[in-house]
Amino acid sequence: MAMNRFAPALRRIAGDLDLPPSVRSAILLEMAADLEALYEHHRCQGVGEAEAQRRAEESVLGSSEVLGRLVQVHEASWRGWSEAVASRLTGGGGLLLLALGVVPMFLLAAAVAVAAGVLGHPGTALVWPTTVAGVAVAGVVALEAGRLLGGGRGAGRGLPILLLLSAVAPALGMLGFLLELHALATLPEAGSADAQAWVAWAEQAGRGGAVLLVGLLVGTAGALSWFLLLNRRLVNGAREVDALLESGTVPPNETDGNVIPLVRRRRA
Amino acid sequence: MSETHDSQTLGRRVNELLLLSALEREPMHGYQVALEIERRSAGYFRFNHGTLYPILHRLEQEGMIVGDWVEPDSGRSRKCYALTEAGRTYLAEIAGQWRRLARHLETFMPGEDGDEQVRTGAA
Repeated sequence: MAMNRFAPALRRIAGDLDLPPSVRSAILLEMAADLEALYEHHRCQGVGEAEAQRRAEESVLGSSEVLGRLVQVHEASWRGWSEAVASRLTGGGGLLLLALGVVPMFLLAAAVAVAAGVLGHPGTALVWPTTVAGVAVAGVVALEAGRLLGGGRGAGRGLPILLLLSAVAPALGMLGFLLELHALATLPEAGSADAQAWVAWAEQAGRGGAVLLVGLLVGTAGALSWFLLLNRRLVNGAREVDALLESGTVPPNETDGNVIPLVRRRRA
Repeated sequence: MSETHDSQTLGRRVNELLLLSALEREPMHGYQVALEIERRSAGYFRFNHGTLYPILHRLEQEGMIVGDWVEPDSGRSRKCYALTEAGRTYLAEIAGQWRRLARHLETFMPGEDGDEQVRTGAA
């Protein structure tokens, strides 16, 4: 591992960044990258090592006033609360239970949809939008879980979408249920001997209820997944920052401090 | 209604104009933005890189720019900023404001003769 010459300076300012963990991690990593790049820039111009380090730190790390402004930009955020909750999930048992609860919840939602036969009755109000939202929630969960377990930098970008979809699915389910209730307001005539009419009425009511239940299950599973994935992202970020701030060492992905190219390159 | 000048936000808008203009040509990393501004202004505008972060992050939150982590083939991942469509529109808007401000200020400037007189007087 190469020496991280900026670890002490980064440790000093880390204490001033009183922000949600993911924001704090991102800021420190951004600063660390810029410090290295600027250091190399000065070195390429023939500046000595110690002076290049001093200039980079002076320029990038800024004053406490600037850090205060940076904190101000980020502090009015709901992330603080959600990340505080997510970071408390680190207790292994709770995390495991949560993870074990998510998959059955998705399966239960699918089972309810199949058992109630809602998919075979596309006329049921909002059945398809709710189903699509449910599939989308499951898809985003799977995608983000893969990304976060892989530890890629883009990981976690889908979390806001997941949260949105987790709210949309139960809302659609509820709306579908209400529309079904509205359609069922015309009851079969009281005392009607036509049992079939009552059975059809009950079935339609059941399908409306099933759409609501699917939406609620998917929404709950999505929200739980969101907390789990957020927790994973926090753990990944904290690990990376810990490695960065550790005295004299840098994360394994640090191989050199080349001046960055002007052309963007992405890992496939 | 005619446009009036808001001197309270002058400094902030200077910074925004410089940053967004630098990013208009191509996406850049934070430290590159500062160097680009310095280069294009022949050293007239100098930023401590640290002072850029609050401005960049605010513009990112406002959707004027988007920050994206780029992983080079070797070395540390770096955050790269690019102008969004909203940012482009905003840049055009503040550039227009600055041109109008410059025109209005011009009417208050002493002529080049005045400059000459000041220099002569000082000498």
